[in-house]
Amino acid sequence: MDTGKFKKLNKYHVIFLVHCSLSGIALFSLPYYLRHVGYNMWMVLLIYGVLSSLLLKVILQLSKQFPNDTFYVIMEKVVGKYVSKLLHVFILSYAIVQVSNIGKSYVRIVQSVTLPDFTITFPALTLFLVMISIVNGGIKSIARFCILSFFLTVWMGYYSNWAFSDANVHHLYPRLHEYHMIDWLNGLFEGSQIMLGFVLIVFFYPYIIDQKKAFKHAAIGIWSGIGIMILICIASIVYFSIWQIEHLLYPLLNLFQAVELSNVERIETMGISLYAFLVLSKASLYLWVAKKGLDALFSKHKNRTRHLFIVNGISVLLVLGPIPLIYQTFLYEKWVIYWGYAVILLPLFLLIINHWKKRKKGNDGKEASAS
Amino acid sequence: MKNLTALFISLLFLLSVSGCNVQDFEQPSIENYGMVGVMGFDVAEDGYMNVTVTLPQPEMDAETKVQKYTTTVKSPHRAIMEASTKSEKLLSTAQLRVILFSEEFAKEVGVWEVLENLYRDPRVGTNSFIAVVKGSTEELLSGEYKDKPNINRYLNQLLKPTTITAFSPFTTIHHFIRHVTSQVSDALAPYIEKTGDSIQITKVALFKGSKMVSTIEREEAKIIESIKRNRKTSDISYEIQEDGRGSGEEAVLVLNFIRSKRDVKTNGDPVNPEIHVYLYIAGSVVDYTGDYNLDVEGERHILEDKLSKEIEAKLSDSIQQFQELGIDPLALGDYFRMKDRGEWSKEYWNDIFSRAEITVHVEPRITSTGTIY
Amino acid sequence: MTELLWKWFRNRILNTTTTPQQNPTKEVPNKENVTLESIKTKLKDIDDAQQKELTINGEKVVLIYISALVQTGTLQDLIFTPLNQMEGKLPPEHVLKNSSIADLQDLQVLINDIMSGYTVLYFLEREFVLKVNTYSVNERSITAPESETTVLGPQDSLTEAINTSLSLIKRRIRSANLKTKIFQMGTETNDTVAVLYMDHIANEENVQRVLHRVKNIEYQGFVGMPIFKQMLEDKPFSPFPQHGISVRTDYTTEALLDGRVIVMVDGSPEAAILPATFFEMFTTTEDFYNRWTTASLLRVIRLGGFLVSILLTSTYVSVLTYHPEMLPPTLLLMLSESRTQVPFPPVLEVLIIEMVIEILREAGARMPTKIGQTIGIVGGIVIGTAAVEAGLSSNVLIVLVAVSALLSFLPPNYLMSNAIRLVRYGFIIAGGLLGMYGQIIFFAWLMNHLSNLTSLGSPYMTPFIPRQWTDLFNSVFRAPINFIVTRSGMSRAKKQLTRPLDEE
Repeated sequence: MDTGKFKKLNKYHVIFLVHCSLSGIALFSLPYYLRHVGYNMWMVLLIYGVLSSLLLKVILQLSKQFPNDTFYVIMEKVVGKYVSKLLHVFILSYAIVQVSNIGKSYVRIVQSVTLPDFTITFPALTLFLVMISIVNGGIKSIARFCILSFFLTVWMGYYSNWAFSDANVHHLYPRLHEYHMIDWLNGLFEGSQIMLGFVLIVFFYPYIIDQKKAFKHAAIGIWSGIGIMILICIASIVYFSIWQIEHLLYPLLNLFQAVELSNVERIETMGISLYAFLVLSKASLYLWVAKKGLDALFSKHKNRTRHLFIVNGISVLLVLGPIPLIYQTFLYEKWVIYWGYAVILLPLFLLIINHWKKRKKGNDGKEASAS
Repeated sequence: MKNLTALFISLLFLLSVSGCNVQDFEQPSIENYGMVGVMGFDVAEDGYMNVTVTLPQPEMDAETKVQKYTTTVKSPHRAIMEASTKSEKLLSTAQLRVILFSEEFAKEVGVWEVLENLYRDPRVGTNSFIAVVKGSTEELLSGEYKDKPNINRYLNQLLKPTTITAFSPFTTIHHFIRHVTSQVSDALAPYIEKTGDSIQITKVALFKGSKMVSTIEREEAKIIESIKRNRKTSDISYEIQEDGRGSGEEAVLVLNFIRSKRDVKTNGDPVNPEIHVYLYIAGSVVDYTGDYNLDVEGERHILEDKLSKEIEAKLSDSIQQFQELGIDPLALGDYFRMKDRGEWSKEYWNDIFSRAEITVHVEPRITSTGTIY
Repeated sequence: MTELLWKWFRNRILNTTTTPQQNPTKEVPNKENVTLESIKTKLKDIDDAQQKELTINGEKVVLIYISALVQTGTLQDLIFTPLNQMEGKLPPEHVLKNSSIADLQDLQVLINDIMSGYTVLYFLEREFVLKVNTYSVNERSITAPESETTVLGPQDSLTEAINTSLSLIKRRIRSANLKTKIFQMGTETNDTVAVLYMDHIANEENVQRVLHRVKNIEYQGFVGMPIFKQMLEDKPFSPFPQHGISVRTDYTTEALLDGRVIVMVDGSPEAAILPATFFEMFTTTEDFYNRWTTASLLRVIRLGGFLVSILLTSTYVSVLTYHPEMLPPTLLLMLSESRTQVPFPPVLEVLIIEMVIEILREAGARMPTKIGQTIGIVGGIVIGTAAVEAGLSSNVLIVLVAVSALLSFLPPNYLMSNAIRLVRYGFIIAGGLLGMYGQIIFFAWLMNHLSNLTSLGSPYMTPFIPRQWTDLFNSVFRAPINFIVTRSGMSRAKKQLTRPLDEE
């Protein structure tokens, strides 16, 4: 019913798609990524919020000019057939690497915390199988899954209670003078992988019903995501010492461990497992983008289910394949962020080129009419 | 059609391959695990340590309710590995709840290395309690506690926060690491010893860095806990000199349902540091052996004043002790740090703290005298 | 994925089965002329096909009927008595007021009529055929709905005879707006299928969709309504029932009034309700007979029971196998004590006990009631206790399995309660393979599956996927009756309000 090209995403779908495209698995290590600025990390998140809202506004300018085209088509229309093929490959491979990145880092955590006797093979395979079944239903299926995963996981915020009950609120007092510009930039850079996801709106923009309000809804999504991240950051700030923030790889895990319930202990096992929902929703969004990329490359934007299997297969290979560790760390920790920046900036370039083309056309038109 | 069969075969293959990795050994389940509940660390020679682990005994017919293993190793997880080879069970740290250090170990070796390694292990919960033991932990763990056959549960319950033991800092791994690595405070841990047929929290151990330096008594610890944060504390009992009244002897006053509130003011000046600590305590009387008439407001105030003097004197004594040791278990540094604009470090603060002029003011309030006057 | 599987299967079948050269169903258009001979050849070897030769007004007449479908009394009342009382020269077709003149061009229709209980009078001299509907069989009387009992409310239920069922509904909705479309379905059985809907309430698109699907079904015949219902479903691969099914008259009437479409098949008492939501599988009409507070509580229990039932025993497996750190100390000691005697890993232990329960249920369901009760007692008490004492299972598990088995019977819809039990096995195996992570991954798959299901094109998970906000008043929380003023979003009714809301 909901597959096929027509406008099908209502405002809730847009809000939650954007919301779930943000944090994902990076939330687990968020305070660690922002460690460079110590207890001031929540301010970095505010900066992210402002920056991404501004970027979103600009990016949507491009989509507004092509309200019925997904980003792949826009590229073809703006930069021509051959350059756009290159860009398609660029984005496609970025999406695939992101899928593997998200899947891999999540399965790593699952394996090391809840299943220490396992290799990551089997958990990763099941994760990717479920991802196929989600993406198979199209963007609306992903959107529904995002809504679902939000409500199935957001209640875990209640567990931050335990961290707050043992809080040292003095940590929140800003001490800006202790950190230099370079620390802030470092923090901004490392943490930025939690924000890069919102750019995916250019891919599902043509399916949005109420495109006029798309900015408003996406901004709600961004800021609700930021809100949850700030909650986690504040909980970590008041609960941890600076040393702990700098050294703990998965602070969220330790926040879960603070919880003491009478009937069940060590709630983090459940928390991590339940996190699969957020991971699946973000990863399947990227997988969908990758699949659309393959559609754009090989079947002229026609929907082909086998493309889904192909991109999924590639990302499984990236996770489980025999890639030397040194390349892996390089790929997942450095490249993917630069890559993400490039993907975010791409719409801006296209916007400029398009503007320039239009002007030229306008000038040509004028000249033509003049002559 | 061929694609499909190929896909299925490859999927089956992948599943079976991944399954093989798992099935090398049968996945153990709960009855195969030995869940270490308590770990005790004692000093041994040449940088080794004696580690005693106890685990609950699920066999109904066994003579003792716990299994106990002692090994001499260099790191905590080595101890688990060593003990595993002796036990019929697969020892696991997943249910570790209490970590004990002997006084000697805490003073000479320091607890950091052990705790850091346990903190690293995701199987160990960060809510496990820490305590310092008088004498050796092995002795404490092998002691016979006839009415409490399961020492794992006994120690866990003992170290759990309750109002009656609210003087104890209830240090968990997380707390300890947080305080040791914090730039404004130093760690405390409960100090337990074996008294006859039971174990008792007798004092509170003071740490400088990760090494224990001294202890304080329970009554002092209560006041210190109430300064650390606003919370309910246990009953406090003080002896009050009742001069000019009745026999002039010492009377005992026990206050119940204590609520405390603290306020700290600093001048933020690293050269001439000044810190004022205000502490408000409100509680109701349960025991009073003196001659003041509690239903007369004026007399109650006199009593409150005397109590205030008592507490202030004790608190000043302990603060002086802290200053001499160069540690700040009260976490007063937080307040000072807010006004400070310099490069902050723990040494910097400890230096300021030991030089600081600290004044205390305690205001006890008797909110109720029970059901009789 | 499923389409590929289906394609493969169809090709496979087409390649392996031998179809007769001529498809018999395709021959129907070749009409045959009606002659006595042709009728007799068609009715050859049907020994209960009665043929009697009579003389009416001096005319030779052959009377043909199937004795199994026509009772002698009826034959007497409808045919013989009027013929006997016939006076004068009035032709028989005027005397038999119930009769109609058969089309002599179409033999197949006539044979079908005979096989549906008509009595045919063949006037030999005039080459003229009269048929009278004399269908009269013994029917089961209207009884209380055994599988869907309620304490309050109507106690009659639909029966196998479609006319009785239709009458049961039509006595409740006395309106010309209740439309009834009747089809002859089943290439072999020629069964009667009725589609009912409220003309001014039901969504036009839904009605057309149902009619379209019903018309397009070609099958040999429907032994029961549940088969027919499966053919109307959007996703036949799903383990979950996607349409409502009920024998309750009040439930059916309520569905009609809400704008749903009802499908009934002659020979099966159930009525299918299209479209239906996942949530409706957990509701009964008794929720409206109860006070709103009680009803809300019961609905919470049913829906919570669903979650607990699918997750309880699998959590036992995953916690005991992979996450012993989650157990509080007392529980840990208790569980490891009772587990020391059990020789199986937890996942096998749970599967065995779950199987035992399932076998007990199945055995009890197939037995006569009295023996079934005995089986229940023997199974519940004897096997349970003995299994623990023999060390086949831990005592905690017996409690958990029993609770989750009970919970699975909470949903009023029988198909849903079966689906729950099936899904539970998936969770147990997932828990045994990958612990809590496996459970959650399976849960994620399940949630995705459910949220992609549709019933007649509308999302199955309504109102969890909201269609309109007023649905919330009749969801897990059942609001007081004066708040329930709109029809459900699922039915997309033409008329939204159930009563006027204007001030008087």
